[in-house]
Amino acid sequence: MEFLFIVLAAVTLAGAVGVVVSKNALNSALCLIGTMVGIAGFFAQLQSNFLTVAQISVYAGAIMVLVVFVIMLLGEKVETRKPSRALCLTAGLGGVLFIGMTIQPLIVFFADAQVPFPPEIGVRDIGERLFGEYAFPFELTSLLILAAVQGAVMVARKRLPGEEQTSTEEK
Amino acid sequence: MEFFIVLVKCIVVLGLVMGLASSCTWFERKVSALIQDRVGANRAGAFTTFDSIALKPLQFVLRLLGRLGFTNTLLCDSLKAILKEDFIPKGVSPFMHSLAPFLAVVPVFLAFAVVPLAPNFTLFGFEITTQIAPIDAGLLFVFAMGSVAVYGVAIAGWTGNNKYSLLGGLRASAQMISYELAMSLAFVSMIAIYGTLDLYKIITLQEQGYWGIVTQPFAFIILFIVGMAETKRAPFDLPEAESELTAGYFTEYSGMKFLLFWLGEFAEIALFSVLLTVLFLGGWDLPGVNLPRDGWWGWALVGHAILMAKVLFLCLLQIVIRWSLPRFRYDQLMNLGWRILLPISLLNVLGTGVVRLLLRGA
Repeated sequence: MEFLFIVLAAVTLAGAVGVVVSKNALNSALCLIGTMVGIAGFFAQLQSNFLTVAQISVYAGAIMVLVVFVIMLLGEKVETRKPSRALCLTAGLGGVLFIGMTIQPLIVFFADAQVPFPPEIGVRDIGERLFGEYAFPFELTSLLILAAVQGAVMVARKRLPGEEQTSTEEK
Repeated sequence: MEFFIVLVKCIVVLGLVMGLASSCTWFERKVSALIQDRVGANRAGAFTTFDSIALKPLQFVLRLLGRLGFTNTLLCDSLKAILKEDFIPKGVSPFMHSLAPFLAVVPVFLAFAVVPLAPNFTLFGFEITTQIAPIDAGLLFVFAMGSVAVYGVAIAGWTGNNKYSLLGGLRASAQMISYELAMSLAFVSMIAIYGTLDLYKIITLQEQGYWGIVTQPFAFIILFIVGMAETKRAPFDLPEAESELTAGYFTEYSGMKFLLFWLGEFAEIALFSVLLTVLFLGGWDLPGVNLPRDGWWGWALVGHAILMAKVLFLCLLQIVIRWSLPRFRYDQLMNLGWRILLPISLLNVLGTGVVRLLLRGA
């Protein structure tokens, strides 16, 4: 059981590192897909079957498809500049500190705890909760997504003649 | 021991899927030949001669297989594909070029893990389910694998490093994700009827009630059309159109990688046929016959044979349609997906909900 966890963790972390490290945008996207599938594997190991398939079909199957399409259609940028040494050291130190700060209390807290195996949650239970007591946040989430789509359209739309361009657009 | 049972099940199902996909290739060649008023492949292996009398029955069998085209389609094509030169276009990452066929094929094979292929039976005291993974969200898993299969096509089109491949790949992926909408809504109306996502329970419910095709005829038609669109079979095969895109997204593939794409396509045909059979045609249920439920493996075999007969019928139907209808233009294709099938499946979900509420309230 732990062997499976180690393999999944290795896949997920390798994907995450690959996203940041690779110079090719499409390679980054593929590594991110690997990370998503690794996380889906964690859900499967925790017996949450619905979350596994939801993670695969939503994240790896829809969101990342969108990202891959954008990379393919808008041209692949290959990063050729190397960051400066000071920036690398600062980022590395900040990352280590952050991870230490978040993990250390967890290790202290769970050092002696016996974590029970979570029960298998059926799709029916999730559905009943989601459309029963959590129906209002569910509908609010759809409003949030609508706001995000509208924001994206506003930022990326074609400007009508006579309107001024935004500051990030190149002439 | 559990692990060993699962391993054996995996091997059996893998063999079954490969067998189904190979039979589909043979069907394709023979059926296309018969539709086009010719005979098809019948020369390879048809003239084998053994001199000794003892081997004459074997010679007869081999000659028969050759005359029917099995040797050509199953043996010679595969050998040819394996032995061909495998090239990678210049300026393209070799890893991505080799990854694309796997991304197109592996999700399709994985989706067979949740499909029940026979009734449950008991062997040496172990209760054996024919689903490799009897998870609660079986149908959603198939859908998730369908979403992942888009990557194979998109990356294959990208790594071709030419405009034809890219256009074919983008067209194919856009087609696949557009038809996934109607597919998921048709699945939703099926799930609303059955109340469960577990495919084994769906077959059990159909045994006790009516077949799915009786309760949801529109969903059956929608899913059949969507199945043909997802596998990019004609009349939806514009992404592979030879006359327009020089083979589209697999222009730059040769040898076994090309055959992997084809194998994935035929495996997807088999997957959709099995899915349609399980959801709509009752799986292993025949209208009058009630298989005894005592768990003997013989009844499982009978049920499996009935299921396979229905699956082969649906595969044949898809192949016959492929060779009968002309191809859609791309805008007609997208029109069908977005403006015709999506509203119909939405109305179907609405109607299903209304009918269920009325029936329950009555």
